[in-house]
Amino acid sequence: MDELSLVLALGSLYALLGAGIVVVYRTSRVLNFAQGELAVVGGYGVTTAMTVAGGSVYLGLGLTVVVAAVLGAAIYFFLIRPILGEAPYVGVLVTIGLAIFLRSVMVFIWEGRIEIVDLGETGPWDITDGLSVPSTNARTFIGCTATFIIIYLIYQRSRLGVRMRAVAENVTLAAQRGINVDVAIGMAWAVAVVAAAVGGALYGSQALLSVPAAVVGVKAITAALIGGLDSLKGAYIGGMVVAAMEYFTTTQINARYADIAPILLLLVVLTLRPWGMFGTAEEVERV
Amino acid sequence: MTSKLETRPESRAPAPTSQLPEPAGGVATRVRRLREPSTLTVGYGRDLRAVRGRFAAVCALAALVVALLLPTMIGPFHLHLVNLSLIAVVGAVALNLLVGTAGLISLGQAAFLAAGAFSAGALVHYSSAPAIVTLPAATLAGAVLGLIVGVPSLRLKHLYLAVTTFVLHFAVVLGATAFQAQAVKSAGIVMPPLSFGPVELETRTDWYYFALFLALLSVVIGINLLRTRVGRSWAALRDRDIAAEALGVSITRAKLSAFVFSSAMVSFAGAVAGYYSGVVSAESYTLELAISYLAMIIIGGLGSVLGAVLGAFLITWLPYLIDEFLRAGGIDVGPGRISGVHGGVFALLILGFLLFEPRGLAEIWRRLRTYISLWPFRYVPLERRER
Repeated sequence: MDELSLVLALGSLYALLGAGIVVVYRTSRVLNFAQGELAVVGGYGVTTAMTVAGGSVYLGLGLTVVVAAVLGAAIYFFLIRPILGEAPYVGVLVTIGLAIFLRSVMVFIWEGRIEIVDLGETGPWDITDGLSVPSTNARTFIGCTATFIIIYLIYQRSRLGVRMRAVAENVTLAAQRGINVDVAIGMAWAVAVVAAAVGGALYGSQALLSVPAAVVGVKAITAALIGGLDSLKGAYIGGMVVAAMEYFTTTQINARYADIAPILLLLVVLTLRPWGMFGTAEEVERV
Repeated sequence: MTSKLETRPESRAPAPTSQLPEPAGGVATRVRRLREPSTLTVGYGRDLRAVRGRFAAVCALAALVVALLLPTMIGPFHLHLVNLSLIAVVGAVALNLLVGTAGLISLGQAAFLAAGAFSAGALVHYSSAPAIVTLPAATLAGAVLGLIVGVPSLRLKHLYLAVTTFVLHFAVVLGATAFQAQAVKSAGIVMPPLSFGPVELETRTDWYYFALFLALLSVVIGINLLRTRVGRSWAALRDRDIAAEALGVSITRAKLSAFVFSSAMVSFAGAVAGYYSGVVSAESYTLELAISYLAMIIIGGLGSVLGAVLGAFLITWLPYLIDEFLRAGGIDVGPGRISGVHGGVFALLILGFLLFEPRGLAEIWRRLRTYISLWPFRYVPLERRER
């Protein structure tokens, strides 16, 4: 039960971070290599926000979400907007630059300390008699899945989501029909950074926050790519696949290869089905 | 294209504008220099020359003299940094051929460096092979790896190519780590001093001349390749692959040759760097290393050989320059935060160049040179502009 809950918790975490990558990719065609760094900065941010808010978890989380949304919009307007329409690698390089910058922010503001986000209960949580799971795992799973579902609903059902999807489909037509493209893409980035911050807080409540912990972003990218870069559903399933793969490698083969195994799976996916499990084939520009 | 009419022998190439009346007075010399501006090329002879114009020749000669005397002028630590920069030039020029000229994005630079270092290291470890064997072997290993990565590049473009090379990075580092754990069970493979027969590179000064030779060689290769059929096919591939194919450029051959050539050169640089540091360890081939090479060519200037050289020097020296600057300014950020300052400046440089000067230092240099050579005028006369 412990193991299963851990896989589910990590899987939903990767899925949540991956959802941010998918939403951003679909609207702005930029693959966000800074998602892991954004998550860890978010986790650090929650610890600071909780201190500012006098130890209240909900107030601290709320404060972080607001700051994260503003940060996401700011990233779009200052870094991504100027390079929209340029060759795709420019987006890759800009987000890598952002990732390096965020790492140095972690070192500069929090001195790269190892931190735990204290979200409350850490002991076992009894569901029924004889059936208990670690409450950190349960909280991460429920928190990440709930946030994922909220993002999914925003994207699929809300007016804002419709606008984002319209921009993703065809920017020119969307703009012509009166959709404010800047607002739609800016909100997509805000959603992605909020997803990263929430994920980072939950990640920090169950593992340790540190600068190297940002490798979680590589797993989120892997999850998003395995699932299909333009599919939210795919991101969730991809996240679970990555987590299961990690768990399987750790227990059955060698813990040293746990970080690499999902990436090798991604290599297989890229070779056989580059658009991922649920992506659309047209996404991959062929020669 | 090859009409006789266009190819004028250099010796009797009358500049088309020489009939203009010679202006007298203080600006006369400057105006005379304008007669054949560097942007105007009359005939293929001039186009094929390595050093264009007398001013450039004088500069090149002066630079060569300074370069030869450099070890006597600076301290050992700075010489060490220069050596690292020169070795980085080889890798940066090679990466720039792939990314800047052929337009094929690669996050796998560290993997190619590791491939070279580890194939040389494995040969040294198992057979104590001399450098005359290990360096070609490392180059060959890089070429093979480049071919392997080149094949998916035939199907994937842009973003997915970036992701594929990103995956390659982790796969190669995994292989290197596993090999290291199994073969030496220690921090890394110890490399002997680099020697060719009786000649052994012992001191940093020896290494300096060797690295200078390699860097100059790679610069010459880089410049000359761009003027060959292969180099032009890479540029055509970058500019528009479909148009290139319509013009008869084989996309398959261009892509594969770009990957094979670039990664062979990078692997060679990786092996040399392994010899220079004296130890080859998988931990040093991080994604950050790959990114720092990308930063070199972005900051230097994509597609420009000069840019790769400038970028390699700037990025290698950056942490030390920052330290010097902080020390001179009397700012103490504390030992825990100094790496944050380094990373922050590095990131801001990458972002700043991507957003504000995407053509890099090479473009800044070109503008500066044009400004100085035209002074007191601001624009090249219309009829002398590059066509």
